[in-house]
Amino acid sequence: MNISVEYSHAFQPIIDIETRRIISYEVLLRGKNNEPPGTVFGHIGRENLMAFDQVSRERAIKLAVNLGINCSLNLNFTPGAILFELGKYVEETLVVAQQQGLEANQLIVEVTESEAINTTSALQSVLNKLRRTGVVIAIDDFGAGYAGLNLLTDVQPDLIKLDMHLLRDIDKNGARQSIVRAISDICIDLGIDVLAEGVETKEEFEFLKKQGIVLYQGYLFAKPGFECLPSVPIQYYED
Amino acid sequence: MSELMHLIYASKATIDFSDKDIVELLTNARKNNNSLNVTGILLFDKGSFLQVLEGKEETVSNLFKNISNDKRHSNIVKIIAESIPERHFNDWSMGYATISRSELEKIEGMNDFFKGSTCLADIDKGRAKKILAAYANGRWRIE
Ligand SMILES: Cc1cc2nc3c(=O)[nH]c(=O)nc-3n(C[C@H](O)[C@H](O)[C@H](O)COP(=O)(O)O)c2cc1C
Repeated sequence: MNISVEYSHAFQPIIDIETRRIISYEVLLRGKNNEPPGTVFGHIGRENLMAFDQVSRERAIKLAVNLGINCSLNLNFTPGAILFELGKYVEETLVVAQQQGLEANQLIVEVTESEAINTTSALQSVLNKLRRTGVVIAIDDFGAGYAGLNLLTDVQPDLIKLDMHLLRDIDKNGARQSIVRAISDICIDLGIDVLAEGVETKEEFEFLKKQGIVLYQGYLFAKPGFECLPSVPIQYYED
Repeated sequence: MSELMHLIYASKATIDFSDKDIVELLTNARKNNNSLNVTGILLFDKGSFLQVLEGKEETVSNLFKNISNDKRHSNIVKIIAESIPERHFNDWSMGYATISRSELEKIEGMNDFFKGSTCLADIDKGRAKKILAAYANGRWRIE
């Protein structure tokens, strides 16, 4: 693979308001001067995308370790990348992470359902295999597009990230409220943690807190930090 | 090498379990699980069971088949069956809601799950712990 484009990463904190801690940072791709990811992808041919993603994840791990990370790291994978050679990319990522001194349970593998997959049973068996390594399995953008409830009949992740469109102005929108309530209810029964992503306002946060959601990520708490690990103002932790 | 898994199910008692029945179930299951190297927990409250079984995949699947055929319970609902990187329990024990603390201390293998206890806190965080917490909050009572 010959990719000349320069790139780097930003990190956005994920907090647990019960334990009052940053539990992880999500890795986000950026241009070398903090440009959005599209500017990087524009330079990469389709045929190189999966391989580039992998190189990029490995570089992000090294950067995070150099920055002194002492919590978990959320890394994005497409279903295609998870399925590729029965989880080879995740296993390689894990090897790099361990070489850098991280533990398997510090890696949160985010499966982003950017494409319709009719291979949930294949995904199920690969994820089950990966589970043995101790990595944490998360479904991204849950409740949007393809990542719907039917997915949970085949794959029970450790964590779901509620799609941010479901949370937008949730304090004023009854349909969104009842959907989030129902999803939270299912997740209690199945032992799945729920994370609210893309929270922007105090009102959204207050509503979600009342629903019992304890994991958060969003501009309200901290914007992604370019080549740094941002902190979160103490006021957002529960008292 | 066979891999580790856990299986979590809920069910409903079909007989009126006396304290003596429960202790007998506990004693036999504990002995058998010990020899099978199966760890986990069995909870019983007001006629409904919740059980976590941990062990080698084949062993757990066979034991679950065996347990499923037991006429003392029915409506068996499998909640989770998946691979795990390591065990969450050191042994196999039982929690029984309507037993007093003094009785509880006398019985080998009886834990203090329902007694506002150290038992839940002692379990490593993970899916089994979250589902046990849900059960402690009144969920998964099969009727
Ligand atoms: C709710 C419930 C849970 C049980 N759990 C176990 C168990 O964990 N291990 C076990 O050996 N037997 C367990 N048993 C008992 C088995 O169903 C069965 O009676 C026992 O394995 C003896 O089987 P055998 O006579 O074929 O050897 C359980 C029974 C019930 C009703």
